[in-house]
Amino acid sequence: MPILLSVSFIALFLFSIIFIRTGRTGFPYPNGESYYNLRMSEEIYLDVLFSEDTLQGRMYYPNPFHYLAAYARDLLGSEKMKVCLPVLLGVMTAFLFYRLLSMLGFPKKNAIFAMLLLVASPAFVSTFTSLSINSLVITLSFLALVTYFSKSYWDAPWKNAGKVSFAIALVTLTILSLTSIYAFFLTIIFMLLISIFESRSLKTLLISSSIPFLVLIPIFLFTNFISTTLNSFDFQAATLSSLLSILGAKSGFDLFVLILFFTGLIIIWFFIKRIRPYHVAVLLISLASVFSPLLRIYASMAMLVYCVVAIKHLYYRKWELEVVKLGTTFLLVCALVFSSLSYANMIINSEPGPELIGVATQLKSMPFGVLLTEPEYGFLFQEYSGKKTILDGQSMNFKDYALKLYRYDSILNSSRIKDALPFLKESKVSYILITPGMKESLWAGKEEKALFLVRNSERFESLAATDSGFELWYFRPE
Amino acid sequence: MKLTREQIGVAIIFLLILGIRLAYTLPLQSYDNDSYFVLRQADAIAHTGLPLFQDPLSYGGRTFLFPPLFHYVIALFSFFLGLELAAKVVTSLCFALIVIVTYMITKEITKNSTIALISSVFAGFVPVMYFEMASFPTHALSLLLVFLLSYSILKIEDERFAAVGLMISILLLLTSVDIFIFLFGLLFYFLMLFLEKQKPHGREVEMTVFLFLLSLWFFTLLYKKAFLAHGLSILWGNLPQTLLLTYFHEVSFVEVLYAVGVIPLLLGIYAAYHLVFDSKNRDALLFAGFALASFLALWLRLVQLTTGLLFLSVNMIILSSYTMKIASVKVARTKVASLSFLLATAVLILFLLTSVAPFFSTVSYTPQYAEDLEALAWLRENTADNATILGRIEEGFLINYEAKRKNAADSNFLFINNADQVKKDIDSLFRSRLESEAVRLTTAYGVDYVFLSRKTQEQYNITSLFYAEGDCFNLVYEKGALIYASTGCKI
Repeated sequence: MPILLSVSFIALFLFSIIFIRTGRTGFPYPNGESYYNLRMSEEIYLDVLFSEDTLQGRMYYPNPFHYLAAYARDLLGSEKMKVCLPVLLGVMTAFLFYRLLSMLGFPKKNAIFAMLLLVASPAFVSTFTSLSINSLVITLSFLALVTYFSKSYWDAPWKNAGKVSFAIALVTLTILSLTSIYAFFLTIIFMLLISIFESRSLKTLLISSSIPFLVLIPIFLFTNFISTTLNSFDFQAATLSSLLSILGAKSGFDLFVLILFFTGLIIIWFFIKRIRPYHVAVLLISLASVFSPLLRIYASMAMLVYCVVAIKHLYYRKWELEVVKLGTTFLLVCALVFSSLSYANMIINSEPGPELIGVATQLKSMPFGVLLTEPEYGFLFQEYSGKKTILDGQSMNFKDYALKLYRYDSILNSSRIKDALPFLKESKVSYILITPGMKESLWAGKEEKALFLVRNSERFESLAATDSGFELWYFRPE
Repeated sequence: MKLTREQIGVAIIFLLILGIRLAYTLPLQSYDNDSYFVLRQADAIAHTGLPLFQDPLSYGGRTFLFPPLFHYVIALFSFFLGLELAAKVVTSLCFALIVIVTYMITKEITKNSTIALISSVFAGFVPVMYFEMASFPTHALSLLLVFLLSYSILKIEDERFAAVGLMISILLLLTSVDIFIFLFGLLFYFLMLFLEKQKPHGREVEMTVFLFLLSLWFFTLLYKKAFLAHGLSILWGNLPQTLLLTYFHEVSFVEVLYAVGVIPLLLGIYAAYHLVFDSKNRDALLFAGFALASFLALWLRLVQLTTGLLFLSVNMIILSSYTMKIASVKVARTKVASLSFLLATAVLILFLLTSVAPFFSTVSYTPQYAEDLEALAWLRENTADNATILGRIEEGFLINYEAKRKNAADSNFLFINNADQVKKDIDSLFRSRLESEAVRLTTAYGVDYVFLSRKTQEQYNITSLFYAEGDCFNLVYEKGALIYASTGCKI
């Protein structure tokens, strides 16, 4: 019963965010990869053998997540799939997280508490309120861990349930390797660490990790799949603004969760010495996660275990000042609730906003042409207006990226039509969407370069302008 | 209740300090530029009950975020005294009350009333207390509250002081972010106890944990949007680089010596050394930790110069009382024990001699020019209510308060994008020789009038605006200060 209630609460929380966001802005997800995944799933839904992204004129590298989304669309319908798929994956992940903790010896009540605390993890919330590949990756990863370490396999290895459990682990790892090779490696590392700490056979691990490799190698050798799988390694420079959700990080750590994590780590380090290797591993993973958003999702979930330790210790400890105990407990609850709600609010109000519905609709009604806009908005407008964009979040994975970037920069830096014209023609640009972000970052709020050009040249006609600063311009051909 | 000699002495010192401060500040007709923000907020609270978090005048309309307790206190006093008088009285009262708090703390640490009295003299006359006589800084109240809180922590074994400490901490949260200096001081204190193989009291740890969580939660709640907008530069108020050096000044040893005074500094440093290497006095160790936190905050430029120096100086004064205690104990064991009174007197005289010169040099303030105030009054009488006045960034709040008009920019850069660009543009508008550039910038900022005060003329070394000889700007006021009206030219 408590598990069911907790899972329902998480489902409700995630569902509410997507639902409110859709109602308020008209767009179910924040800007980014979600719209690419949505478009790919629609293409697969129409043609299961879809292999070329004809809109953007480039190869399509298959991903199991798109097929899952297409299947879910077939089952539930387009609008329900947009909401239900991320929530379903989130709920499954939460339950698998609870199961894993229980299997590792964490008391059941504490495991349920840790599961509930997932709503305070910005990384978890942002992953499962968007249609991102990481949502499937995390679910598969936990499914692999839970089925691999299932007691039915390890306690009675050759009984049927054990075989089924092991088989599911193998299949899951294989699908995971096709979805994200990086997540596959991370999962194998986690399996290795847990196997060492729990004294499980490493031979079994070797077998279970080899089988997916046997599937992968021919794919790498005979297809172009390797480049997209290698792109799953998402290492990036560590900046505070990308690590802390209070500074606007999309998949960051919450400040109070971090404080509770370190508090819990210190408490449990001194009290339970036997499991110190786990603590070292979690600490190292947390430190490494500053360079990797995917690893950060895992780390933030692991941190919640220590948050539970900290909260329970602070609550059950004998306080000398009762009023301070009451205050601290109340504060912790308020802080975690505030963090969850604050982050949820950030997702709900993030770009794209409602004003872009009109712009996208306007653009959709226009004849076919190429749209020049910030890469961040590329996927969104491909999905909602059916227009090709010069750059989007996937462009850097293709060979012509440097050329496209050069043309993009050249157009945006031109204040005279004769300077911009050759690049506009080469890129076949018909539309330019100026965003508030471009005005601030490229032109410091001033009417300069491309902004000056579109506003003053007769070759450009204004199609739409919003109060928030978006401007859609049409470039008239000769 | 019969007062002791020392308590009467403290009361006299308190009244003396209050008297000196009021004697200086009461005749003032103008104040430091940023003080006008405090006056406007207190005025708004007095009229509407709420601070001006949405200010229609600053930058032509913007949001402020700040803990408003200090402004509420001034507003409360303003019902009886009038706004400006209330601000002067409240600020002077807060600084004067430090004397009493210092006495209480040093009495608790040293158990010696005479030493505590000497420390209160130090606190009353330490030069840094007189750095900002013509302003109404929030740290006047936060300094008082922080040291009251530290006193409550000293006596936390008493239940009543635990409750008092909680109340003071809530008041402190509503005043300023300076509580974090104290919290880090507590962390250093625990570290020092750990190094000395002592355990902190349970109550101290509980209080620290609670205060830390409460402060973190409160200020992340208050500044949530600012963090999202500016990231970590919010710690420095999103100030432009050129202004950052003015407000978060690099500190030198000479400045510290000047501000704290030679005697408290030397005695305080000795006390810190003694506490770390020889003694196990927990009470004094708390203030050693607090002094270290203050010093680090200053050195790393995490706090404004005067704020940091104030905290450091009071901590040094408290620590110096510990040194005087050690000395008095040692002297009492000698054959010349009767000379301890002479020794104390000598220290006091030395302090006064070394602090008098800085005292008189710091208590000097260049008031606003009368011509500038008259010009602002003219603006108030002769311009439209929604006119935007461009002045130096430092004069922004002065324009809002005296002229009751919108400013183009002021020294609070919260939620202002491109702060460096704004500073550069404002400087351009006073230095530029090109009329087209001036028109472009005045149009961009919606400026109706350019206020060239006497202080601006001195700062930029100009007597008029170079570009104002064309048709786009008319000189509409010229009496020392100049006011130019924009004629609405467009590029």
